[in-house]
Amino acid sequence: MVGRIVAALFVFVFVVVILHMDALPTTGSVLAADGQVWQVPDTFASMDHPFHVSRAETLRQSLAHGEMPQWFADHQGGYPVEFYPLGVPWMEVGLWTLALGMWPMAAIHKLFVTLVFLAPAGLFYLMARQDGRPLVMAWMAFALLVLLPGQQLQGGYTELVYMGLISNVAASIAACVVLPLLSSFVSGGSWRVAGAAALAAGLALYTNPRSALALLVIGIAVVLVHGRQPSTRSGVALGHVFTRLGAVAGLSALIAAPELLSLARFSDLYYFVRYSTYESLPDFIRASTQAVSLPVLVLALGGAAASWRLPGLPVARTAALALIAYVAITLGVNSAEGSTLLPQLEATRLMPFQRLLTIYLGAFMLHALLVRFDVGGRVRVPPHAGVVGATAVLAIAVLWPALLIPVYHRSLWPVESTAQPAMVDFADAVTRARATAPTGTAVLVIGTEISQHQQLWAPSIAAGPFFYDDWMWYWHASHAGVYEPCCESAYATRGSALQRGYLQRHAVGAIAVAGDARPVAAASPELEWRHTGPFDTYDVFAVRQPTTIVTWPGAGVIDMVVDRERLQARGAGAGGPASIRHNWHPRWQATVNGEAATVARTGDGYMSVPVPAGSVELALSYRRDAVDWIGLGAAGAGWLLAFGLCAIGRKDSAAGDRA
Amino acid sequence: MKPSRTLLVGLLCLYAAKQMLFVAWFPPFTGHDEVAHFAYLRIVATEHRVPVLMQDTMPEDLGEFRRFALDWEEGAPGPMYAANHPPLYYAVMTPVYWLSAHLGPTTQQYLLRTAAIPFGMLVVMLAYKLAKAVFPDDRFLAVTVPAGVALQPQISYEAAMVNNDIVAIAIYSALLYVLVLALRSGFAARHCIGMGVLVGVGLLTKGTTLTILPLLAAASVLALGWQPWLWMRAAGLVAVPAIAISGPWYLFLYRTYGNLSGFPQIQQLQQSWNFPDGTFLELLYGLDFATMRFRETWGEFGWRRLPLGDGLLMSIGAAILCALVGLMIYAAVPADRIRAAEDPVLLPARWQVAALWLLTLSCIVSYLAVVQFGTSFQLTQARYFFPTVNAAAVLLMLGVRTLVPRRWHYHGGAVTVVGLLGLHAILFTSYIIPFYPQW
Repeated sequence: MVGRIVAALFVFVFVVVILHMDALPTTGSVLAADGQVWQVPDTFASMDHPFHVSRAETLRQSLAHGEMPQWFADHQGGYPVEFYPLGVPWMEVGLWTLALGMWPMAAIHKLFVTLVFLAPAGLFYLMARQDGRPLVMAWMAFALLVLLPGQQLQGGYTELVYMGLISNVAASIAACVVLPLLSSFVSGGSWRVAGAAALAAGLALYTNPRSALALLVIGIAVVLVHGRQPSTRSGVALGHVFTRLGAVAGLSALIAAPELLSLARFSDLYYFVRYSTYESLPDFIRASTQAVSLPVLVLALGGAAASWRLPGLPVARTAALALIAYVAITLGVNSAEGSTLLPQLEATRLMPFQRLLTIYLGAFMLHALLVRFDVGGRVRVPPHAGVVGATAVLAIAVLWPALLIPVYHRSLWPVESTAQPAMVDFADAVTRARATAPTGTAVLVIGTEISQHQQLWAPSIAAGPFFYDDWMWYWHASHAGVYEPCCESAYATRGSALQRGYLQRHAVGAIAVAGDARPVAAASPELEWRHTGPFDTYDVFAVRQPTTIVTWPGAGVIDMVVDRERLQARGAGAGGPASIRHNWHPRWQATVNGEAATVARTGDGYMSVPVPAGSVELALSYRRDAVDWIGLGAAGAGWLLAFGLCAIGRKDSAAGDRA
Repeated sequence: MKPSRTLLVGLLCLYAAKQMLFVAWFPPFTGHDEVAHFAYLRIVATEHRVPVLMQDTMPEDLGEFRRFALDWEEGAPGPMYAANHPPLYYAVMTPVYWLSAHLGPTTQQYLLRTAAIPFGMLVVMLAYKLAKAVFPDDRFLAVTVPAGVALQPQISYEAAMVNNDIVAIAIYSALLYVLVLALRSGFAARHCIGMGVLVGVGLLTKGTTLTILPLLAAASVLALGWQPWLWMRAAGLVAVPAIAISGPWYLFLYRTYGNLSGFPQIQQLQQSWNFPDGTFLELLYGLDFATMRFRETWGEFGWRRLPLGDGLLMSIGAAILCALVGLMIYAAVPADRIRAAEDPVLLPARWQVAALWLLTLSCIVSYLAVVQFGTSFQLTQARYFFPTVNAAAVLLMLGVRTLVPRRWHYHGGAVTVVGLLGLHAILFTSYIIPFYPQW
């Protein structure tokens, strides 16, 4: 009976969340002054969502063309997939497939984000079950997770739904799932659980490689909790512990092999702007408090300590140790800024995993206090009154937050939607700009009318290379333009991207422009107005005498094909270096008139290939090498093995392992 | 004499000596509102009446200290913004004022500061009594609770300045003590009447005493069970002396201001700069609000003039967190019979559980009162929480006790006291003494 009530409470929160987030795929209608109606996907439009939708859509299109993408050509000169791995896009494409392709990727993304937000319900259920705690404790943890929005990089509603940092949050959840599974496997020996743990760990790594830190601390904590204690002789023999940890680590490394191998090989090419840092220890403490609220943080500290005073509780103890180790690593990473140690890690982005552990331990402590709730004196409190009371308060807070929570501390607030006129104009402008840009040129999108990165929807609307005045994320610091590569991914002034030099350097053929750059574009002698959207928020301009992506000295290129991972150009020249305005990477291979040619990296991160005088046929292709194929093979084997273990694994006898 | 009582005597001697340092080292009138309270006292002592908001002003001869008062611009009369406080503290201090009238305000102020020390000692003694009342046989708490109160720097600061706070804290502490006795006795008539007298006297000292009322209600329910008739009897026994003592003052307030607090008039005085930071819920959830209250609880001597460094505050915060963790473990982890037989604190009787809940409730209500005050006044401060210091000390030291293994309680208590003494050493050597030229 109690179990059913708690299950109903889970359903209740799911329904509230789904309704608040308007999660089911829908379209919105936009009405123009002349009565025309447009249907546009109604999805999250804020901050980084466009980037993720575009990536999922690009992946879907690649797969539809029978390709397994290695290179994303559409973003500021292109980037290799391992530098922003495809864990989330793969899952979104999977969900799109499950939905039988009935909804656009933008709508699927919204549903997927909602599912990620709800996923910790399962995580907390697993953790509480392993600890022998009742379902209601898992529900309390879940309710707290829903109610506490956190701030921009803290793993809650704000980071996931408003900021759209879905890779970071999803990977943290996947990593946290490893904790109860690994604890169970190491103590119980079920290879079925090992398969599940490896899948979760592999997914975490493939979704966001910084999850490796979370997995590392989980491993350390599992050894400390389950390893045989010399004093008591209890626990699992250390040999068994390490064997089992090694098995899961190895299997998850196989699953994530394409990512890990590529990062290991090309890490020197990777660059990440550290946007934020903890200025001091109080700054970190403040962020840790904001992520979960002061009461939950205090409860979590109590939970971490109490887990060692109460019997059982392998997961709570593992979480406690993992939390301590993770905080230490976060502070270490933060203080290592500027050093060569982990230079690409931004410590502030490690908070989501810490938040999950903290909330679990906080809920654990809360429940432990509530089950012993008694006011003493002559008042007899009915059994479970504390649990029932707290559950009721949490449920009221979920359903009716205005009653208990001030507005700036509430979760589940409405996030800006794409169903608005500026999105109609944007789609129209990008489509027309793509049609306007001559073959072999890129489209530059400037300005935003919705949130901060509306530009980044472009690849989900039209194919081909795009440049943006604000490109959110990038992988090297050589990109040419007026900006500070050390600390930003946006041009200092939008007008700087409308100069002749910029347009030629990046082979821009057309421009879609919004906001305060519109009059600048209109006044530019380099541009020719072509179109204004029906809602007058975007203009389209053609670039006069544009430069193409591939040029060489002499008469020039007369024919060009620009594909996702392929560039071809044909023409006649005077001999000399061909300039290829697309990002260099060691995987690019070139042939000139059928002969292999050397691809050199230019100062701005683009490519150069020597071509002879006379007729030239230049082809560049982005190719997997032997190591890449080994990685892919390893991943395939890893997935098969892990799924095989999940399907046919049987429980080993735990008794043999125990002292 | 019991060992813990011997230690208490020693602690009180140490406390008195330390308080003299506090009295002497802080320049005259630098304590919060000292100028205003001194001015109030002067009117009581010389004109035999209480001052009135919007009518009385600060005395001109204290003009050199105007920077330590609110809204007192040079060349303009300073408002007597403390005039809505009840008169008891000033009446008690009037003889000191009369005896020192010939010495001049600065010296008088030092003497009045010194006269506050006995009230601080009373708070420390009541902390000891409260600890013994809740856990009669425990030496750890009997030593560490009064030590914690005696060595809490801002409580010490209150007991070394011209301000009614420390008297209000002492009365509230006495109320908490009697409340626990009443809980144990089932609200015996003598305890009810005693609490009524204390409530009346408390309300005649400072309005913050009102926060005891929800505790009285909760305690009567806990002590008497579901017996409304007995609640009413207890309420009557408390209310009659309380109203008899404090009623005239509230009649005066109502006749003078048309309300029972004078707060609307204070708001009118401060309307040019008083912009509260939010609603009740916003302040309650506000991390900045809580952080500032924490800073004020340990530092911010003077009118927020001397803040403590982050490192020191974090160390204090870490120690408090440890104590809270211990308290949670105490509440959540059931003691086995063997350990409980050795250590009765681990298996409290029902009245002890109720007493601990009341102390917890006292802390919660006092903090909520600080929050509530903050919705009307930007200058809400942590000191409005201080009356419940003894309750907080019992709970925190119980937490520390839980974390320290029983065989190390003696050493743990010593370390706790030495740690608090160390805190004072740091405060004086790194903050209070070096800051002197900047006052």
